Amino acid sequence: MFRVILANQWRESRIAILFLAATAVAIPSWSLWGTTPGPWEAWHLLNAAQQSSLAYPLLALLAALTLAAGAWRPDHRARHVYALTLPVPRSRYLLLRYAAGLLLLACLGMALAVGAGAATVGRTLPRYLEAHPLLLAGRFVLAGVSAYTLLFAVSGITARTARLLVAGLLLLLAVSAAADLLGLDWNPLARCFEALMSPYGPLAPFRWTWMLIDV
Amino acid sequence: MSRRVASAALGALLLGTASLAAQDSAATLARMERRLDSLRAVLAAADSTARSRVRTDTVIVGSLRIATTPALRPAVQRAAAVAWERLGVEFGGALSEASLPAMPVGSAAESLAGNVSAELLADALERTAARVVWGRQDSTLVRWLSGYLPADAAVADGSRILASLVGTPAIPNAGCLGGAMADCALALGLGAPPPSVEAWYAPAAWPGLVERDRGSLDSRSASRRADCIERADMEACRAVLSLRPPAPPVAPVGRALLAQLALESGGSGAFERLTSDPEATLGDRLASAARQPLDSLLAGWLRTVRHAPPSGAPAKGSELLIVLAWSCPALLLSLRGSRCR
Repeated sequence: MFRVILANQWRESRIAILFLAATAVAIPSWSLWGTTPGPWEAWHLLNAAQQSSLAYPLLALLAALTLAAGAWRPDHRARHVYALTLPVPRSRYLLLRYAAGLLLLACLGMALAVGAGAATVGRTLPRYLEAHPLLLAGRFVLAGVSAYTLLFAVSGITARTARLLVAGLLLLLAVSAAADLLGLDWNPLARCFEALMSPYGPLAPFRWTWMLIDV
Repeated sequence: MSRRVASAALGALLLGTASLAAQDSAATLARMERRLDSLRAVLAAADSTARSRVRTDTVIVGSLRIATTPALRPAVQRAAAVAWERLGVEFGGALSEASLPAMPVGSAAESLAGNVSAELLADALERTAARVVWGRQDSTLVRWLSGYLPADAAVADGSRILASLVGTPAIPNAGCLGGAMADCALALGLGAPPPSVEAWYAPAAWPGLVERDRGSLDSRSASRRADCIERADMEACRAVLSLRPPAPPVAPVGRALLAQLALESGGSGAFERLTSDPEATLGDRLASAARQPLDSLLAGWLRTVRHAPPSGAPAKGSELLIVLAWSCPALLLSLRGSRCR
């Protein structure tokens, strides 16, 4: 059954996944392109790694979006008829769908590891500089898992839960506006955003350092 | 409503009452009196609003003088007390002699009263006062700090200082990274007189150094710049590099970090010791402030720079835990619920 679901998900999002995999392979080599040996090589490499460090979390977010949307699209399109006809509990069916997405995400992480490895293996780095292709790929997968899980959960919510979620957001906005008007030194919207992005928040992986080459 | 508009309205009303007086109607007069009273009340309210929005109040805490609005006064008072305490720790007795200029906080165009964060305000006041105090020190120290305050180093990303040390192909950098404190002192520009470009950079690095200097040049120097970068003409490079002090081997915030470490380890009176003898070399002054030999101070600096985690980096081993801690509940939430939608 897992194979069928995986094949189904692959069919749904294969073009996007192939594009993301090609991008993941290409970015590391492309970012280090043109850094030639010389007195300023370390400087160039660090600059190149710094500039491309934004691309990796963005790629992880795009991968998570693509996979989360791809996981639910067949069910939404067929109004969950296929899922309802299966002789398995809904939770198991969803777990299989989630796992299929995770597997595809891991494949993208592997593509990034291959790309980062190819860009750095065989290159003699200046002293005190180190390449981190596996660390980068690992962070890509972790950030992807974090975003994919949240998006998977949000994509799969029922209409009622969606309404509750929107109502909650509106309430948060209203309370924030009221707090501003009352001149309180406390803004719940800003606090929520800080919590999401805090070092231990669900979006923390996107704040990590994403340097392919670093000191 | 501004005072001018309210006065114009009052004038118009009085002109109107002149023609009406001829009618000698008690009812009309009573009505006009009520309107006059109402306009006076509006005028008083406008005056009160205008007064609360200009900086009519002065908060004085120690040497800090802050001109502010009546509405902001309580928040400013609290923030100034916090800022003064922190400044006392940083500058010690030197602060009591310093006369600081009055700092304006709040204006007619702003209505910060409720939104101002006392913590942010305290930071801003402390930073402004610290900049004034540091700016008044001898030019050698001010130039060496390159516009940074030692306090900036506390929030600086240490890994970026290390990156500048590793990435800049300056002669002393490799030795400094290898643990030669004399090289660290040279890289940080602690000698006297300030190092020349030859002392810091090998000729092979000059074209790159010139390429990174984006300052404006006259046409002759621009032509030399092109010769230096494109043809590696060392004489042209030397001519261009002599126009401005060369970029230091370590990011300037690295110097601020060294000063911060010296002040921290020196404890009480460190600032006075650092600033009391402008004729001494910077190395001696920092060592005196830190109450330890310069080599020990530099070794501490190198240790701090080498072990500073990059900003945004999680604690070792916690990455997987953070992701699992958030993903598992989110997944469980999405798995529960009825089968029918």
